[in-house]
Order: sequence, then structure tokens, then C-alpha cells
Amino acid sequence: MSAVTGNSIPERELREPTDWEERTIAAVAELLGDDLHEVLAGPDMITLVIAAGRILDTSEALSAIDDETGFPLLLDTTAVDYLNWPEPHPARFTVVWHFLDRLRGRRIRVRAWINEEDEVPSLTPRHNSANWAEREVFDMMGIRFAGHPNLKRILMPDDYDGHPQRKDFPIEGPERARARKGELQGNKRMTSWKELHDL
Amino acid sequence: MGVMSWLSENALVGRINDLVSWGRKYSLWPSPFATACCGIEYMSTMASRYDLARFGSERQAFSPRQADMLIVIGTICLKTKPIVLKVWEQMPNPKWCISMGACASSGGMFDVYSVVQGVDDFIPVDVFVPGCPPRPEMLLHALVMLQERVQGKESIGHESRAFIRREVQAEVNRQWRDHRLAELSRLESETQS
Repeated sequence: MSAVTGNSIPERELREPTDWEERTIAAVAELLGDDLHEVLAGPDMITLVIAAGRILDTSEALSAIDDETGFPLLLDTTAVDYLNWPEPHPARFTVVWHFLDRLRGRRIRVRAWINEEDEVPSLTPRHNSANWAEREVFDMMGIRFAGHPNLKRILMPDDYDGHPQRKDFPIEGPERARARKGELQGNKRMTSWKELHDL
Repeated sequence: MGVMSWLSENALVGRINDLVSWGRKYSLWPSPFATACCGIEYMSTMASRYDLARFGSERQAFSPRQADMLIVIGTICLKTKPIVLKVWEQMPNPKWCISMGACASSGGMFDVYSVVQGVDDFIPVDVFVPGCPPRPEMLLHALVMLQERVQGKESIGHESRAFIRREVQAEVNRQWRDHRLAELSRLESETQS
């Protein structure tokens, strides 16, 4: 395990891992070695911060460690944009995966820091639940998942320009933002009437 | 008794257009395109308490091919836009459009990247109904306004804001060109003399 990287959990909320969490951490640490960067035990569940390229290994290890600590179900895939985050952080985005042990109601969170140009291995070959979630992350954040069978937009139109959930995306959309800055006569309804009155 | 006096007592003389638009006015079949909470108010308007059928708008056409009047009810997202346009293009002429509610008319409170800021961006709208959501009476009022419009216009109406804007713009361009031409010819005559 290496140095602390962009911890977003307040110090006072950190706690000691429980027994089964210790066992899971040990198993993952044995598999990943230096690629397991950090372990945070937050109030809700533990977070493993790993290198993005090792997520397939990690999910395999988590689902097959043993009967005691197996996490067979991928609950959620999402991403966070840390642009303008005040504290130091190693990269722009984190991708976040949540796993569930549905027999014992145990949860675990896996995170990986990546930059815009990086690709993340897709979990879709292992977990079907990753399919649409990864498409949504691609659509909203512009993060590409290598090995996804059908990585195209899911919420916005296919020809849309930009990725709306990024922090540098203008809330009213790129066209109207350009119009607002005067680079483009975008919202023609408004501008053309003004032009008419000036004439 | 001459023919003329018989006619004046027994016949009505008028334009066929008036008769046709009178018929159209009281048989506007609405095709609702409901996407959001305004749809609930629309249902209430169609139901017995408010009863849009009193105004001749008796039959809801859920197939756009049998409809005269598209009522766009609720928020239209960018991804819904081509579908609304397809519905509109399937409707036979003559056709009218009512934009019901703040969202359909202007994007409403959804001033964001994913929402169309008023359906008149891509469809000619005849009557806008404000409100969030509008009360059923407001939709009834809109229908009556549309009926007056149908009756009053000889050529059946696509006079949306977009249409008027194009016409006004063309007229302004024409006048500006004439003005420039007159200016040029005046300058030419001045230089020659």
C-alpha cells in the first residue's frame, strides 16, 4: 500500500475495519500488491482504492475469495469529477464500483483514479449489471471502458456534443453557452427579434 | 314573385371557405403528446367535469394520422424532440398545435442542457398555454382561441412565431435591399451629373 491519495472521507469518520473486512482487504492486497493504493474504512463501508487497470482482477477476487467473503453482485458503476476539488488529488476522475454480498448484506466500494485520456477495463464480460451503468458513465463523464460490447450514449442523443456531468460542462448546453458568450447566434428566437428591432 | 326576391328570402349567400372553417372549428380532433404532469390536467380537461367535448373536440385521436390538433403537454427533452417532430409530420393538413404548460412553451424551470427550450423551436405553435401546470379552464380557453383562429383565417393557419419571423425578416430584407438600391442609383446619378 502506498501513500494516501485524495481521501474524501473526513478523518473523524474513519474507523477500524471489522474482521471480515480485514480478511477481504488481506485477500485483495495479496492479489494486487502495490496496485492496491489505499484502504479507507468509512462509516458505511470500506473503500479499496486500486489502480484502474486491475478492476477485473479485483472483481474476480472479490466474487471468488471464499464462501465467507464473496461479493458476487455488482450493484453500481459510477464516476466522480474532481475538477476544482480544493484538496490535492492524483487525477481528475474516480470511477466507483459497489459490490454486494447479498447473503450477509455486506457491501464494499472500489475506487480508481483516472485521467481523461485513460481507459478503464469494462466489467461487462463479468457482470451484466455493468453494461448500462458503464454506458451512462461514458455518456455523462466521457470515460471510455475498454472491452465494452456496445459503448455508446444511453441518455443523450447519439450526436450530442460534450459530456454533461463534467464539472466544466456549461449547465445550459454547449450551443447556448456559446450564444451567451456571443460567439454564436444560438438562441435565434431571442436574438433575431432584437436584430429586427435594431433595424 | 321574381326569382331574386325568392332567393333573398330562401337562400343564404356566403363563401365556401367560411363554411369549411366553421366545420373545422367545431371538429378539432386532439392528439395529445403527454410527457409530464400537465398530462394529468389534460386528462381532467377531457373528463366529464370540464369536458373538452363540449367545444366539438370530441374524439381524442391517439393516432396522429386521424388528428387535427397536436397538444404538446409537458417537458420535451432533446431525445424526445425527433419523436414529437415525427408525430407532427404524420398529421395530415390542415393541422394546428397547442403548447400546454410552461415546459412545452419555454422549457419552464428546466433551463438545462437536456431540455428543448420551447417546442416552437421545431414545430409551428398556434396557442401557448402558460402555467405550471395550467388549470383545465386555461386549456379550454386555448381551444376557444384556436377555434377563433381557425374561423378567422382564410388560409388555414401555420402562423407560428417562427413563420411570422421568417416573413418579417424577408420583408425587412426586401426593404433594406430596395433602400440600398435606391441609394446606389442616387449616388450614380450624382456622380454622372
